[in-house]
Amino acid sequence: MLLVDILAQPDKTLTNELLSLSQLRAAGYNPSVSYEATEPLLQAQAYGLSKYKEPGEEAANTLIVLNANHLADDRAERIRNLKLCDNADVLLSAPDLDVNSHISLKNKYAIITGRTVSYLPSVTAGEAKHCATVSCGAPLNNLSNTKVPLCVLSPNISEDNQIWALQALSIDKQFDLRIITTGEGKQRLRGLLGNAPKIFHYSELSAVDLSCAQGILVVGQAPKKNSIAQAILMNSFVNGSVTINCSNAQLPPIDSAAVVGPHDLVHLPGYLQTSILPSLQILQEKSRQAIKPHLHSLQNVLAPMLGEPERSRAEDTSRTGEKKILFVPTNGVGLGHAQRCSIVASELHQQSMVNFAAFPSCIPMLTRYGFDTVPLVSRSAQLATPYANDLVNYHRIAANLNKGDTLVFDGGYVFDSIYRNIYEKQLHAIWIRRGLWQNTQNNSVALDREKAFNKVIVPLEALDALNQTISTGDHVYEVGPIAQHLELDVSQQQQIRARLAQQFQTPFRKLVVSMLGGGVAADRSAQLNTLCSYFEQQNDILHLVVIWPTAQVNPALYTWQNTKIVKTHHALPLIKSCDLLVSAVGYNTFHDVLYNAIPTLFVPQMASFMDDQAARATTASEAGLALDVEPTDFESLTYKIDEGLCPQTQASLTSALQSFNLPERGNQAAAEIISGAHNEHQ
Amino acid sequence: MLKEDILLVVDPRFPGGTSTAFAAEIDALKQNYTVAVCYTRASMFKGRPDNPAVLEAVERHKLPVYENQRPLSCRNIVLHNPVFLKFDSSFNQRFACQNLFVICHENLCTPQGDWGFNAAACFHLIERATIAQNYYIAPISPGNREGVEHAIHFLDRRWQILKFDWFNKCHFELLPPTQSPSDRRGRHSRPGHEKFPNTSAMAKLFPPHAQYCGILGSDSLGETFEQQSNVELLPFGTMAVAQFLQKFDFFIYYVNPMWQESFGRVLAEATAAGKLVITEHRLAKTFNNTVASAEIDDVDQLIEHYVNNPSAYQAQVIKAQSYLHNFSDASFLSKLNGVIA
Repeated sequence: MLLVDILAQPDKTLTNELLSLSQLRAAGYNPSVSYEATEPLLQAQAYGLSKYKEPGEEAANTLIVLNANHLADDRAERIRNLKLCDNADVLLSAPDLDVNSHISLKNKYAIITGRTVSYLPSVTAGEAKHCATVSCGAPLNNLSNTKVPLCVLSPNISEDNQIWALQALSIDKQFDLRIITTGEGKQRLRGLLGNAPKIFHYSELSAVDLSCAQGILVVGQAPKKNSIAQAILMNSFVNGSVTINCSNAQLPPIDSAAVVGPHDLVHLPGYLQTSILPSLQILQEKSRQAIKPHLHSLQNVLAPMLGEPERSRAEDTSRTGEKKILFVPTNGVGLGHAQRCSIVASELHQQSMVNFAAFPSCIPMLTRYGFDTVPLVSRSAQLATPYANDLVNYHRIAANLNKGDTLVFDGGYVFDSIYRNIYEKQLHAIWIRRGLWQNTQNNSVALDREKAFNKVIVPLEALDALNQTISTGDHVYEVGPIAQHLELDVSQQQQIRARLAQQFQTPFRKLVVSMLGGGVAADRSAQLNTLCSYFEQQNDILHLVVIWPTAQVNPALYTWQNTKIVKTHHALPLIKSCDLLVSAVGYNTFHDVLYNAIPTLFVPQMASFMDDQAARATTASEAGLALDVEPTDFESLTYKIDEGLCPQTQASLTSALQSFNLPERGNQAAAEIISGAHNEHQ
Repeated sequence: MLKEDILLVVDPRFPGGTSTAFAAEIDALKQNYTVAVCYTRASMFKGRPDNPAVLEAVERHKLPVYENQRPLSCRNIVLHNPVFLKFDSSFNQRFACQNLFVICHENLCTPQGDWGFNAAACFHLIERATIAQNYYIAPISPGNREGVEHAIHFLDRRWQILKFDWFNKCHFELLPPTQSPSDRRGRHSRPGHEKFPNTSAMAKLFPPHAQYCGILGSDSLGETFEQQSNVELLPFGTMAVAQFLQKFDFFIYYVNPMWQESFGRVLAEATAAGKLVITEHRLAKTFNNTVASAEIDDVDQLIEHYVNNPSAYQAQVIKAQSYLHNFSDASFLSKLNGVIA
């Protein structure tokens, strides 16, 4: 067992330490990590460190100490108490030390651990000397890709024309381009180029996940002291990428293997076309010959000290076996995302491979649909940090996926748990992303993370005026609206109504169903009370308030005579049997209404983080397909109810709905895209 | 050329053993020789005060002191503990002499054969500062000598190892051993990790079945003996050593296997106080194996033997005490005379 102990450096991020760990892991080692934080971890650090198990009862046969020179008394005591095998090797990683400090530190550790101590090798790279875990390359997985992987590392983007050159590369379909730069640089590039190019900042993912295998690495500016850039350079080099040096500096230790490229990126597209692409394989071979990559391979350097690795990242992905499809719907205001996923999942051929990971409120519904579901943890103010739940979800999702599996995400915000797992597990990722985002929403983070997905499925709105283009590209697939359809003839509807009258012992002539939503988005009790109060005076009406089984009910609702509460996941038979539906205007219900021709009064639910329900309501109303009322217009609400229950209005709405030319539903098309992508990825 | 026979060179700020040994050496040398002192200050002890033991000894004998004066020429120059130069890239002194003795209070090598410090660089600085006819490296004990013998292969060929050990001078009053030894054990040392073997070894050396276990300088032991009521843990400096030694009959002294004592003065002190010393084999060599030595696993058995045989106990202590005269001033002077007479 390999144990890595990290000694904290005051006022320093854990950049190099996390880098070393991820490189080690990619090289096939599976370290446990012992670290005592002296200050609260930043979010990225917490995710990064959480991937490594804490030392358990098993004694380590190798101990690596990172930042070994930061040895205070309390830390010495901690290291002294680590469980080590009698013949354990102790390896130190420390920055450049003078000879005496070098000797003295080694002897100190020998005394503390009672074991023979040596140093991890370090190599001069750029302007700094880095430990092998940074200055040697780790193996990457060579994913099959019809495009040539092209990574532009640290481009000089001080001038706009350099940025336009990058844009030219990003639209060249021969390349799968990723640009790696600083946080500031990323912001500037996105400001000018939008979300189309895949732009990453150095710490966005691990160097392993950012590196480029069997492709082309263009170095805009030499890494100098940037250890992450250095690791990306070395990872790409040892994994067979041609390195093109467009900087005006050398690239130790592999400078002789690099090809000199244009300093001005404006010439880069032409240079790649004429000088690199025609002889890419020859150049890759020359690069291998110019300098032996194995000398810079982390596995080769470490094997004499750590033994052969248990497995490498590349080997890991080559495992065969049935690949899973994991659906991960977020829980928005209601269960819409989960319901949409379940509709699509039901259409898949590979039913036996489908699983869900979902929040507790969705689980009963998904279980009823017959899907095995891993519970995720909801966000809560009770937790220590705002991301504490997502950190758990990150591991739960990871534990339920193997490398190369397919992940289908449905939600508006791509959580870290999703984003990181896609890269770390090298998943085939598909995003079901319905549109109609509000103009006032800031979706820049969500859209930035679109680059992680191989495919984006956009379920269209049935009413074309509501469709909007959020992003474009070969990876974006528009499908018809994802909606349920239920065949229910008049006699079946009558049976349902008769059963309701019997069950609630309330004979009625007209049936009204309310599905106003609620929960975190808005308090709908005022609207519900208005409705209940109104129906209390109508002796021939049964009013059903239909909610999810997991929703909370205001006890006061049970006091109404003509209003009954129904908790169900199967609202469609009820709303298809009613005379009037009073409903919020979420994507799913809206399309259920349209595709099942249900006379409806829409009462939109509005919150800044939701889709634009008001737009749906208004558009449907203007098309004569439904009635609508402002959520705060209580006076009009009852008038609209009356109007909706008027036989002429009902006839008009039903007729309009039945005759409206709706696009074909996209349930099957979405399933085919997922299924096809999944098969293609096997 | 100084008129004195011997010029002693030292950084007067050495804490602990080196300064104590230096002061004792002045007392010894003054019996036969005229002595002068040169204080030289290196970066290793920057900001630390002079050691009172050195100052008092120099003052007591009214020795002439040279500082910031160069070159200094004397027939014999004795430079104590070259480790003080380890953080320096130059040595701002110039010496000329017939015999240069560099006393290795600090082990040059670890038991594993690695450098204890960058000794090669320190010796190189001394070489560049000195013109001498004979360049002697003086070990202070057999164990210390092993490191010197290993290190000399990496030093300039001018260096030769002194034939005798430049040992610590011990002037302890000899106390008789107890007539009825019991399983009462103790040890004292500075509290550093290097002074202690690992936790499981300590647990074997100071087991629950012992009548009493006392550890003076226990600061770094943490929770090792938390559950053991027979163990008295005393932080360093909280009790006079003579008083502490009265609490037990067996002085059990083992150190971290990755480190070794240069001399082992505490063993001489315990032996003089009438305690039966049990230690590791390599440290017993300093005392010509007159103190008992054993593997850690055999210590219990050895103690049981001596508890059951008080006469054997007394014979063992007296044997060890009788060897202590080898660390006397007279013994030292007679050996030194052979070289510098």
